[in-house]
Amino acid sequence: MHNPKSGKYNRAWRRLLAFDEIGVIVALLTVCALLWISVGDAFVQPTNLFQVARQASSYGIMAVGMVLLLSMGEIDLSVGATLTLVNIVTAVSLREGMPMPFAIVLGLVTGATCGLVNGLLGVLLRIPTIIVTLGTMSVFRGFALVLSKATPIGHFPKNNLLFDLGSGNLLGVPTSVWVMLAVGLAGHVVLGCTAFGWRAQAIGSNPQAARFSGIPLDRYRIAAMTIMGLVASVAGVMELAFLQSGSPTTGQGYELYVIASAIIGGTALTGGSGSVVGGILGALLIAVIRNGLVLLEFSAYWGTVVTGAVIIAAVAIGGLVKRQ
Amino acid sequence: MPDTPFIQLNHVSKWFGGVAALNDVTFAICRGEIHAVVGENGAGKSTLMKLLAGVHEPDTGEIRIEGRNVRLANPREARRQGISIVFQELNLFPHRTVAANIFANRELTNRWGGVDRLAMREATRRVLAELDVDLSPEALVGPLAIGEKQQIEIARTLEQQSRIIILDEPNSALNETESQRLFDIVRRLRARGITVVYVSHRLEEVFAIADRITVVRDGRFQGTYETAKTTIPQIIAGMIGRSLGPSFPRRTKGAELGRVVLQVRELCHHSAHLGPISFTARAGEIIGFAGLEGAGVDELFRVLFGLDPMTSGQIVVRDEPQRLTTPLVAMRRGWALIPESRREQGLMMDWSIARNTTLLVLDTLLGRLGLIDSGKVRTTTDHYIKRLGIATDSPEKKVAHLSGGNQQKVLLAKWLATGPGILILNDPTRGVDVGAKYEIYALCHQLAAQGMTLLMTSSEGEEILGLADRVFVLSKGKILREFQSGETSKAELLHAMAGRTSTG
Repeated sequence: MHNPKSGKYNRAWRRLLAFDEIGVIVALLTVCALLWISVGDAFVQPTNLFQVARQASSYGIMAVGMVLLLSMGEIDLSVGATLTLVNIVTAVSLREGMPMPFAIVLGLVTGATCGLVNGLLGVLLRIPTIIVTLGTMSVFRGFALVLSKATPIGHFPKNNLLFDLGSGNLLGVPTSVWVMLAVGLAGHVVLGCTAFGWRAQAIGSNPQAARFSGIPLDRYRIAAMTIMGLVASVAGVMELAFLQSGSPTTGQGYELYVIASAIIGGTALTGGSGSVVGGILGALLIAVIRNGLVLLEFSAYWGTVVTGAVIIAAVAIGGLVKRQ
Repeated sequence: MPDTPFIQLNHVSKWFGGVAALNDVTFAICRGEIHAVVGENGAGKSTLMKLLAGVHEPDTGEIRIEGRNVRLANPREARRQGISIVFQELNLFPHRTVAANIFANRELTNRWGGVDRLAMREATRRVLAELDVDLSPEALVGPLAIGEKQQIEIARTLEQQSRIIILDEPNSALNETESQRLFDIVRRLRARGITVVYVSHRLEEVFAIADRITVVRDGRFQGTYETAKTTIPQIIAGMIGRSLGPSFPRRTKGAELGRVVLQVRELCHHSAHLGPISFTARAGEIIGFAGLEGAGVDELFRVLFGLDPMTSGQIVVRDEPQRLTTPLVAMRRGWALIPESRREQGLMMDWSIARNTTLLVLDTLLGRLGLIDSGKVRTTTDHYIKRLGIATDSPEKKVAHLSGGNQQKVLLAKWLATGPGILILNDPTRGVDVGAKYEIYALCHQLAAQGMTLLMTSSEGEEILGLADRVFVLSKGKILREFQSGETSKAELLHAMAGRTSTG
């Protein structure tokens, strides 16, 4: 190990393995290979794979916002609740006869407002966002329960374009997957190619130096939390479009999957950098695991256990591979 | 000096990846001496100390203590041999008391297995008294000054009955008075027969304290010298492999001072007990501010850069009154601040050189669609790498992997990129090796010659004297005296800083 020649060899390896997404790629390929071997065609069928991708899209969309937040050193635990609230608000609006575009806009505004409230509370009260969103998680979910009277919302006017799109395909690929890719592309560009994205990561890397660099920390925090809320609302509307009914229980526990997706994808909790591509791959990995457990006819209860274990394993693999 | 070597290193080498951090190093440390190890950043002195402290093991070669070959596999093993190290970054628990820190992980217990607070308090009092340190064992460590924290770490090693205490860059964060206090403690340790290994690149201080000096360069042993029989230029020559001219580059004369650029009138900041302060500065002028910790220099710089609000007074730049409310506003008005601590306040350590260099000027590097143009980022970075002589193989290298001097140059590049009219330098050569220091001095002169106004301070008095055209001495938030360049000696400056008026 300690002679110059193998040093050069090591360095080549290190360069190959030094990107943040390596852990999730290794884990995803491994899990896919294992499933292919054990369940065979049932897994690799296009219909099944698209089903997996669609499942992944709910938290994949939100993972994009979460990567931005984590790279800034912030976090949002209320994303699942925001999704639910948006889902219910949009559904109720449709049921009450609001035209579809307005209902969607109202949903998006609701989500953005949730994020804005999170950001403002954190900045004005000087409370860490993890605490703020721990509280608003319950508040937003509560609003959703009140609005929906804790029952699913259906009986919409017929022939709604939203539902046709939501359950439909575009070029053979589910619409929500396209939406995930679009949000992902936007997030990737914002994080990697805009001054906003770089400065946000600067805050995550070293908040004090960011302050000395003239970056308005509070404004950036509020903006990022608002973006997170908006992204969660996109996921909420897509969820409604696919299920064709508003459900006060949808989105429950999503915050964990979303944060896990981002972390599995190589975004550090400590901030400073992040990978949108990794976040989406992380969401795919979680969806693949959940799908695999169904195909292997595990009970849903065990599925919950295995999902958690695999999250830990994927993060550990990423860390180990990089440390080598 | 005793003749038998206490610690003997024989042909010690250590590689990291393919790079030799230490290459065939052989030298000896005598019992009871103060042995300085000097070298530029990256020369291998830290690695050397980590071998002795058991943090790393040598790849080849042996370490002998009192003639016996020892294997220092981990820090615990090294401590058993009586070796303790006080790192540059102190390792204390800020929310616990002095006594709790001194006995951390080695708590004294009473008959029933509980923690014996009384005994630990007494032992702490004893060991602090031995070092003549006036601290209560019950005090919380967090709010203490950095010098006091260091004293606690030294007391801890003493309490552990260490025979060899390694001090890694002990005074890089200390001011002159605190340094004097440290020397006092180091001499007390020697008087007790303890061997002190003193790693530093501040040669003045090394010469003031060490019995012998070992020089390393590029991982190789260059020689051990008796302090009394060597000179600073000789040591510098050993450190950088060539002899340096005068330690401060000569100003190109004939650079007439320009118009008055900055007028500060009756500036006050009440919560920091600053002011009223008034002074003016011209284009092309370098103004030095000297003062002890808490004298108001840091506070003045913070107010000028918009980090803290001024409570009254006026700042006029080019006849235009300015309200500097945030760093962003200050930056837009042409101010720049090189902060004191590049790790904490200056750089994104886990970021590349390119990202750090361009962070403040991203708005000027946008291409079509308002996206960052990576080509422009690259050009800007390359320009500054070349202009400041940043030693790196790639602009994508993380700044954490650069030497202190190169990190400082990245920090300078980051702020020079904004094209400032007034540049504040708060201790610009802290933790920087001799070669890079010289380059930074030359850069300051060059910037002044181009008409920039520089406001600077330094933890080293001679740096202020060597660099500045005029020096203001601050004490208790007010300007105490003003010196013209070349009008004063270091001794006189130190006296003035301490608030005395006599000439030294």
